[in-house]
Amino acid sequence: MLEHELRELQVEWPQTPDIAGAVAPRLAAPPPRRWVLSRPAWQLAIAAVALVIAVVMAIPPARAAVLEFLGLRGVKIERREPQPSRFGGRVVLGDPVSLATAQRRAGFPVGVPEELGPPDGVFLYDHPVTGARVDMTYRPRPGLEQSGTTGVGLLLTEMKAAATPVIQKAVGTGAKVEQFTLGGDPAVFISGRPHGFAYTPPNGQTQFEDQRLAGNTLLVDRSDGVLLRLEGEFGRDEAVRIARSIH
Amino acid sequence: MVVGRPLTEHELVERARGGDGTAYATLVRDHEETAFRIAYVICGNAADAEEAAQDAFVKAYRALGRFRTGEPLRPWLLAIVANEARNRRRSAGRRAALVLRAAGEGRPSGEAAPSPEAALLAGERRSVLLAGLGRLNERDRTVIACRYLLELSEAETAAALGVRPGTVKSRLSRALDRLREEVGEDA
Repeated sequence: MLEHELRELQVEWPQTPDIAGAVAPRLAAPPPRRWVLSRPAWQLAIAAVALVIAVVMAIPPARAAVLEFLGLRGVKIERREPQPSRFGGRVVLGDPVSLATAQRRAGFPVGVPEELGPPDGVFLYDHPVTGARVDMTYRPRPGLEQSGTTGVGLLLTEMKAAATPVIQKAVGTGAKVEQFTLGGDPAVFISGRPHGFAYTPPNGQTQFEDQRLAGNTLLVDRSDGVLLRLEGEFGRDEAVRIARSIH
Repeated sequence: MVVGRPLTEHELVERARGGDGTAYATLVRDHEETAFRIAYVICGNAADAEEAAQDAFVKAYRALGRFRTGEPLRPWLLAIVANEARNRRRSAGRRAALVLRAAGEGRPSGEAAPSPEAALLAGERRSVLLAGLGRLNERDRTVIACRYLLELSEAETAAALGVRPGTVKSRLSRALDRLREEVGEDA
């Protein structure tokens, strides 16, 4: 009855302004292209295997939420098997920019690990909902092995931590999750088997099939409001050392 | 270039991605009315709604590279618009009730003109419902406005609310209960 009445209501809306006309002059530059890191073909095989595991090991929903919050703002972690990605597991980055541009436009202080020096690649993604995200890549070098999931030695992401989860992770039974504090800031290190990793897209609905498989990852929710994410073929101590040197 | 038929949404998106501002303007025009009304329901005033919709369409243009080819554009756009409207509402810090007015000729088509008394009663009822809707919190009035006033699909409503499609039904049912309370009906 109420539903019917609401459907029949004719609302006198305010007149719609000429939004298309107002938007047109603000579109000076073409939409930026997205850059992706190339990925070895064998990882697709891993993704296919992960699908089989996911089907075989259907996890009861009650257990799925166990790891949901580990005290990190902007991060949601679920204990469930990662799903293969619809994107083929590509690492999607923002626009390639200079470090100076990223530091100017990010809207938060962008730090660089002192022990590694300036990054080989800097990418800025201005997320329409969650704000800017800066991705930095370091080529493999002695002491920084090539990652099987990203193809680079280190993928370092910095963004503003938010109250709502921006990063979502599906951690399967084979992966290890360690929770600790780093200089007083909450931190999590995920290692062992690759885990599922996804950013929340603009529509706010991260689906776990939109994830890619990620390797060992350190997450730090720094007290200055910046969320650090380091992904590479390293152990916890090495990841922590790099994170500590970020200034 | 001669184009024998209107471009499909997919073709317009592809052109806009290549930097064709005219193609993008066509897309904006197709969706600006719904976008503006959603922003109006969320912000509660036309000036903020207009700015939110404008900023959202500029952001959406810059984010087009991430739009998944082949998916419907409208839910994606509405999600960005609604989010922008919510941010604006939060930063404005205003919590004025939403004012919605019933249009004059609201009777179902095909019926004879109602008696003056019936018209008055029906008019009052519409005003009571819209006033009650305006007093609901932003989440409740947005889900009701999306589904019933703007007649969006569940998927589009979910996008505008920033929730999964599966949760729209329960949100809507709770919002309707609160509207019943507002207008003095038993749930």
